[in-house]
Amino acid sequence: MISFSRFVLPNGLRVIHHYDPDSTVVVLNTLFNVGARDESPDKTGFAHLFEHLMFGGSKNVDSYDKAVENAGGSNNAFTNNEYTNYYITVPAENAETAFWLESDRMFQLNVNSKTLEVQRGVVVEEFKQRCHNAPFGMLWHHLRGLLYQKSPYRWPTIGEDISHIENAVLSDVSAFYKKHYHPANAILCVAGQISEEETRTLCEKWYADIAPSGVVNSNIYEEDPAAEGRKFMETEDLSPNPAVFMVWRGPAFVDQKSAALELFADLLGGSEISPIYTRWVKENPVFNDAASFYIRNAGEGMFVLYGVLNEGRNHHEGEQCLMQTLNDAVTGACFTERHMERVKNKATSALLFEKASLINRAQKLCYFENLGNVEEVHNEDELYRKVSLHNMLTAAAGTIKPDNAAVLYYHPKTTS
Amino acid sequence: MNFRSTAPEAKTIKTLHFTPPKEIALSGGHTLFASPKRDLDVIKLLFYWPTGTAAQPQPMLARAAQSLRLSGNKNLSAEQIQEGFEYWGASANPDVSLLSSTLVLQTQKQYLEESLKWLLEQGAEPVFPEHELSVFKQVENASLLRRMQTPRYWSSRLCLESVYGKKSADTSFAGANDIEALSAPALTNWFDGYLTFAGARLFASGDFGDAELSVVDRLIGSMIFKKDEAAQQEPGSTGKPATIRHGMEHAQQVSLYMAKALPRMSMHEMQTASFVNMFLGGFFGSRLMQDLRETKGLTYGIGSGLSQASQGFTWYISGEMNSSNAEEAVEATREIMTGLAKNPPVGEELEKARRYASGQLRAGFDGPFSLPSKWQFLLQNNLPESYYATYMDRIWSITSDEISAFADNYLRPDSFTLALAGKLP
Repeated sequence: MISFSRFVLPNGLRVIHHYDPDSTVVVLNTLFNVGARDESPDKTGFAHLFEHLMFGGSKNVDSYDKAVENAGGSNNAFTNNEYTNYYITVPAENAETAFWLESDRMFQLNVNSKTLEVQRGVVVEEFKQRCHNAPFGMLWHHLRGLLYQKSPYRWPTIGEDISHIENAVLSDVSAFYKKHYHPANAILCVAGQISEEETRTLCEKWYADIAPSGVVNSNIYEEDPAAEGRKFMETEDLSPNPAVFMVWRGPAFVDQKSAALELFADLLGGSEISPIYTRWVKENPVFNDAASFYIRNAGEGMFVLYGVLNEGRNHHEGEQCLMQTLNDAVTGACFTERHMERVKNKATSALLFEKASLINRAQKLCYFENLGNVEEVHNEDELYRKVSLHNMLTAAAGTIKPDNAAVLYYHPKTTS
Repeated sequence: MNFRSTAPEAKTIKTLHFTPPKEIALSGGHTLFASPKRDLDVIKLLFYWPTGTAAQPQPMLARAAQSLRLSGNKNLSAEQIQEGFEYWGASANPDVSLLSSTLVLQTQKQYLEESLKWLLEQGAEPVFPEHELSVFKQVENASLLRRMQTPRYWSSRLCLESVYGKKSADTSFAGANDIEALSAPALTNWFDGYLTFAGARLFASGDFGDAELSVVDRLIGSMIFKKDEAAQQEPGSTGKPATIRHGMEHAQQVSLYMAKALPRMSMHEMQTASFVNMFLGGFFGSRLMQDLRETKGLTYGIGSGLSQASQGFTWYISGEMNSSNAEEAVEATREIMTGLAKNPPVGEELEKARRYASGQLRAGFDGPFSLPSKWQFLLQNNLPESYYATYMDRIWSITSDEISAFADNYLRPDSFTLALAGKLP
């Protein structure tokens, strides 16, 4: 159970306070409700580029990082398709420094051409490092592109094309900041060795005068029509072995079926005793790696099933193996009540270990608030517990159909 | 007056706030370090053996033996054993480093007894079944192939092999032949010698109180502790610093790796090394990150660190960059290395690093599971419990001249081996 209190400042900033008497630090976690799905199709990767620019200093802070370090703190951030999350950890006695820093860059960020030029270079190198230099680095570009035609979920956070980042100009990023980075579009969680009273006082002092300047994210996006028919693509890219990836669109986080699909994915291919792994990696080694998982999003989720082929095996055979086991599982031939108990116990343990970290708790509270109701954080485990074998299989059968899969065959890039 | 223009006072951190783990002797003689109890409903129980890859007679042996210890015994298969853990929502995660091997049992408090009993029963006498070994080889080969496609793998491997020699205690990079050579008898020998539960020290953290201690003592205390520690292989003879270039056709970037061996040092010198490394590339405000990333935009990330070696530490610098930036990055890195001796940090730079390091040192003890790794480091390097408190003192007492002298002694660019791998400039 994560205890917390919640209040909203007149400017719309939602604040969640979580006290941890055992901690010696204070965490400020700020979630802005803007992610890659809010980008224009010809300017992808902006949300992530902007995450980098947020460390370039603000009206009253020359160097964000220097100030954090001066307070003995550390900080980082991440961006995904749905939101951008910043977190800073400081010794408890320096909590106010964190309020000063986080509020100032919400108040007035210093976006200039020099910072943009440097961070454009950094992000371009990140793009190359993650996507061009690593095996399967372009995987999510291909999978998302295959799965969606219209939805803004069709490009990954790093951006669809490196040129979008290379061509970013100051006016674009300034407009992005004005539109999305303001208190009414943000959630702040203050966690650790700090009282609720002090949190309220510091929030009033540092955040209350920041006026909302842009739009509150409506969370409405263009959606693709329901998937119909198999979609297929082959690509040659950096990978050690050929591989088969299969993806399906699935329900959103708040839909009970998403918890069922997460459990189903874990049972099907989430560990070395799952049928996908035991049948096709161990007993009949078609693959050297095979797994399934479900990505739960605020928007649509994704069910992913894949196998990396051993030498002498081909894609078609691999796809048939994956589909055969998937069909067995969906039709109830693989799992029993004991499997259900097992997978729920795993989910409970994962949640408990996750909540042992102060930063994780702060991020989780912001995440649930962003979904619409922070109180739901208390029901997370219950969502899994409520899934029965029958409704798990029903959810799987309704989502993962053989004839609506997006299938990607990966061929290793040949070098001369 | 604009209240925002005045930064709140940032207080300096000069003390650590943590309760050390309690050292408890179990009935059979095992030592258990118990972290303070936290009400979390979960527990981590870490088994620690003081033998790692530095002692293995063939590459991959130590890791394979630890990874496969739950892959089957005379009664149950790998799947049956794993199912037993998963049923309780528990997991047993093996790891091996240069100087140690570990196995972490993660479990809900309510299932501690069931999962620990299961671990002790099923992981005591592995038989390393041929089929499981064959799958392990297949998976490891694929993983090796994948790593070999990255410039970082080659820059670090070629650099460290040049520094220590190809088959030394410090550089046992396994190839396909090494993986193929793994055999059940060799794994059994290694396991019996260095990985038995009778030879483990234990670290408990999380929701671990008296009741849980009594469960552990009942289940483990019946074994008699037997100290096993393997002799290390010959340490590598550190050759002359070299420059290595390794082209990779498909690569889009260059990976830079520079390294040198640091000798065994006193506690005082280790603390100095650790603090000097911060200025080089040990944090975001370091000279490497600020110059190469934040000022010049040459790289997404570059950093430096001290990694454990069999006879001391390896000082390394590592980063990836565009091919056209590589020459400039190497030159800038060398200048920064030299600059730490000629132009050591003073004033604001020194103060900022002190503040950052002391805050991070304290924060490193935050959280319910932080202490085991801190205490493992002490055991591994034969350091006293006071190490962390004296490091805090050292952060605040070190002088600019001492930093300069240390950098002059150990950080000369021509004493490091440089490897560039990937799309060469």
